[in-house]
Amino acid sequence: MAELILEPYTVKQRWRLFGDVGEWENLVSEFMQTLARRCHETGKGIIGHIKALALFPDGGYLRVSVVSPTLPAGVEGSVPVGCTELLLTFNVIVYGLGRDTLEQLTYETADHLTKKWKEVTIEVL
Amino acid sequence: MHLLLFSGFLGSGKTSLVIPLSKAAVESGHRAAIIVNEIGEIGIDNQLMRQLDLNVWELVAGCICCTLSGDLVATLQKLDSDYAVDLVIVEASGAADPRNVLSALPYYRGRPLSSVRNVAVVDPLRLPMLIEVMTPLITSQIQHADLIIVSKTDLATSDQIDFAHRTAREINPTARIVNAAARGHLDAELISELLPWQN
Repeated sequence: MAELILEPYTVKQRWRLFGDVGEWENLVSEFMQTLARRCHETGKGIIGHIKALALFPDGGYLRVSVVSPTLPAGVEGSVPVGCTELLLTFNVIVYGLGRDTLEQLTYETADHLTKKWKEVTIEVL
Repeated sequence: MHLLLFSGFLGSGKTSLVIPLSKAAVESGHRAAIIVNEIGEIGIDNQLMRQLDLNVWELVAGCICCTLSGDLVATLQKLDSDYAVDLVIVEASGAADPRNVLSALPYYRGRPLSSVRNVAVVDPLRLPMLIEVMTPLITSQIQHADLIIVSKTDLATSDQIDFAHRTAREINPTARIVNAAARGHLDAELISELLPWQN
């Protein structure tokens, strides 16, 4: 069988929320789906799996999974009330796109969405 | 020691099945461990499983069907000799060919494995696309399974589920094929199918 070449990109980020821009579930989902769309539009990459685990300082977690630019993100877990910070680890696995491209697309997605949301900061750890 | 190998393409729903299955084994009084193999520098699924207090062992930065097959065997032997577990659930990476994973098992030197089952998880939402562009991998994952789980049936249309069943049956005429929803608990019938020795 021909070997399936994948170059995953893994990153850890700290997200901080300074205002009322929405629920964490929706923000993380929007980030992942935007990234999936950009990956799909760049060189016709086939989404393998974009999956994230968000951990909250007060306990609780969110697991967010995206497998297609057109399907909604799968979200599991729960967010502690009033939590304004999370640590996000995610893997971006896209068939047809190399690690450097995935890193660039992830950076662009974070830049785009933090400008849109205004009250969220994303720091790469 | 029983061994359940879960294969299936990236994002097919393996972790969503492995977690409740492991919980079910533990709740019925068995010592269960999960070996999770992920693509990527940092494992996501193992962190989630640890959050849920599951006994998880991670194999990352490689694939257990090739570069990490020796690590898989070593981990199995450790689970047998040091922890005497009853059940090991191996969640292969989405890029793993189960044929190669199974070919590593003869090198295991612990207590004889009481059973080995190879479970393929098939995502009906993406199967039409994946079977076109990843034909050898998807075919091998289905072909070498003795149980095929069509996942996400709560999200898929009946046409998508029918296509998944037909495709799986064409590739593997003998394996049992069952459905599982993406969310919620595994139904009792599927747990009994996967853990028949627990009663």
